[in-house]
Amino acid sequence: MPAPTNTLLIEGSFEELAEELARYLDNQGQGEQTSSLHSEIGSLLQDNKKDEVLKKLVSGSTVLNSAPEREFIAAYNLLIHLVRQSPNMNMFLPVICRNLSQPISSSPSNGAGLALSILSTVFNIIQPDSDTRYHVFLAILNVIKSTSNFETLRPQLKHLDAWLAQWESDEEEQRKLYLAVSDAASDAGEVEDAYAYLVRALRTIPSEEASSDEACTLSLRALKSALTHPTHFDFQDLTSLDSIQALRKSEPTYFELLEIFTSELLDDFNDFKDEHDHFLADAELDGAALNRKMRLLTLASIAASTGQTRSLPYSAIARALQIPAADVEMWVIDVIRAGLVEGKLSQQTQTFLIHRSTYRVFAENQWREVASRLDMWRSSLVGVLAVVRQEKEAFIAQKEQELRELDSKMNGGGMAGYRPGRQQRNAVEAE
Amino acid sequence: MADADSFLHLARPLGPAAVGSQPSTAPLSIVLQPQALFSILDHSLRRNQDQERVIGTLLGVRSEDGTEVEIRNCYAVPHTETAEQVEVDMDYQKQMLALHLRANPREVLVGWYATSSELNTFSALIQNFYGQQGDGTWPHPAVHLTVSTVPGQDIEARTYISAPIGVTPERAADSCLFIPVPYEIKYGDAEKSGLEMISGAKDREDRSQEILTDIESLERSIEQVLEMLERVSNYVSNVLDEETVPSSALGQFLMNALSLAPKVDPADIERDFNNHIQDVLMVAYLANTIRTQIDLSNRLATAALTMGSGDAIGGPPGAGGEGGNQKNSPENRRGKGRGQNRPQEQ
Repeated sequence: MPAPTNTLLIEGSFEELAEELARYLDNQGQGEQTSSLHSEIGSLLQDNKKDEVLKKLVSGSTVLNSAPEREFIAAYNLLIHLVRQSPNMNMFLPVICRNLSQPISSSPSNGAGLALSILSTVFNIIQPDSDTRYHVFLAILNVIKSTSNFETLRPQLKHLDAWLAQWESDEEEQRKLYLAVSDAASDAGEVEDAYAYLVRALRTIPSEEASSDEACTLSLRALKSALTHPTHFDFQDLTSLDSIQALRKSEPTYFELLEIFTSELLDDFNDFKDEHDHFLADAELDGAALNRKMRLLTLASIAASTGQTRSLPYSAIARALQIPAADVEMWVIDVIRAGLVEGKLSQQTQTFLIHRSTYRVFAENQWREVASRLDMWRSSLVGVLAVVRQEKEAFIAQKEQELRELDSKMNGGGMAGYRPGRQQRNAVEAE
Repeated sequence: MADADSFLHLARPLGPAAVGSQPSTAPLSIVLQPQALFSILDHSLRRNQDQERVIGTLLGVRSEDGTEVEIRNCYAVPHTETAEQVEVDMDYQKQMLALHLRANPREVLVGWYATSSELNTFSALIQNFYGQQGDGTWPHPAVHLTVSTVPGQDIEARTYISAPIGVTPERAADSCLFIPVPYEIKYGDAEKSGLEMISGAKDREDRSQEILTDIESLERSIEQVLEMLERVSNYVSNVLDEETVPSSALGQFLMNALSLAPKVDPADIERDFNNHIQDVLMVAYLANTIRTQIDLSNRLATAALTMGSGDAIGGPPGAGGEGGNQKNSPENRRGKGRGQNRPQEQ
């Protein structure tokens, strides 16, 4: 059963409601306008020109932005209700969206909330598969961006993919939307979300356009934010993108840097810095942050390469990270906090015992490791299951045995039945 | 949920400000407890034949800032609906509410439910009644929960709050805009497995279901885990055979999950296991000893009683020897009885 399509419930005919709204708009607009909407639409209503009436009302609705905040929602809802009855609803919505994107003068503190609640109503009354929703959503993103209300949008973003599928938007539109979300997120200081949506925007670029200018600037933006992001350590999602691969030709230095961060160690990064003297400063990349990140990644790499011993002496860590031995523990703790490695520090033996480490590049060897661990787990579980079944059968058998004993006791009488029973029980205990 | 349910909830309508707080338009979310849902379904089953839908009151708790509402309980409210008018038994609602609040002082009125997905102008009227000042949820928005109860179809629940519509007070009084809000049905593991158990009975002729023993449920869960492992290792072997495109995120996740098992030496395990077994045997031994002691003390106590009635033959030999004295002095016998108990208490 589909959701009810009509959530605006008001009694009264179109004419009555239109007149009431017109009178209200006239009251609000007093002093600014000399012409009276009410008298204008009166004659139009008599000719039954609904669209004309609506045009007047919608263009007159700009004064609503200065309506008292308590009446604002009610009046706008009425307008939407009227617009909804027109077959050409899509004609009026852009104007309404534009009006709502303007600041609401009567309510400086809650204006954004008011505008958002009306816009979401507009969004909700449009058919779910209509691509008008896409435009309304862009307007919503605009309002959210200008009022930094990203928090309220965030729980709704998980529906985005389903919506895009419903609207059948093409890649161009999707990219625009993802970029808008990413902008809104970065304005609100949500670097993580901003980056995630930027990458999604990049994914919408078809491979034949991967070297276009637009793709190139976007890729560079994504690359920079990934590099400087303090908690982003996985660069494989970037390297797998066509548009990033295209940078290999257009921006070889950037690509080199990315490759270093994907799989190389601190030494290589230092070589890179020597080679390209002013590159980091020119690219406005924070050298200190990059250094720190590279050290964390290097530690993760050497932790992953320890193999079966699963322990690292402090001296090896200090050498690889190029830090004094006294700082080793601090760095290890940082890496653990970044979630790259899990393990125990042993001050007595001056070693780091690794429980789990992240592999920066997940290649075939790692897959084999996963497969072998899975097999081990399965075989041990099969063993457990066999034991459980066996015990269950033994338990049932024992029960039956006892029942039989009881029977024979009833039939054969006292001692004769009892003695075999006792022997039986002793036998079970002996097992 | 159906596709048609896609909606956006960004802001709730500006409500009247509670004293001392800023009015807010923060979005709302609703948590639904299953017991409320069940009693709504039950109510729907017991409705009169000619009634399209039945309604009732929702009770629950509201978070301090009012952005999260948890529906915990509900009760039915009688109402009649005809084409022209709707009547709700307001006195009943008030009294039931007062009684409920006395039993559950922490719960408050949060809104109302109807057992049909339809929204009409009567819904608007009732919604305004529940959201009004005084007896209603004011200054918080009233929550309206619709649960579709068409036989043979899936049950669909939807939650709404309302916003005013119309520019004149008369219009606004009997109309409103329903704003869909997201909700979540929260249930615990115990509730889920209980329900699974009950629903297992629906496919059986005798409408009954055996309760699984611990060992059987253990067996079943091991089988389930094995099945899941099978699926995962299928995927991994496909990756290794280069039939599936590997996802490094998935691999990383699997690796992390599989590394959770600590690496322990088999010798250590055996040692720990043996220690544990010894502990268990010790406990079992002590428990048996205590049981024997209790048994013994019981027998001795009853022996003393039977002795009191003058029949010394059935008593234990030690007590029987002193039987002659006790017959003359009952007080002394009681003291003796206590004395018999003393060794067991140590």
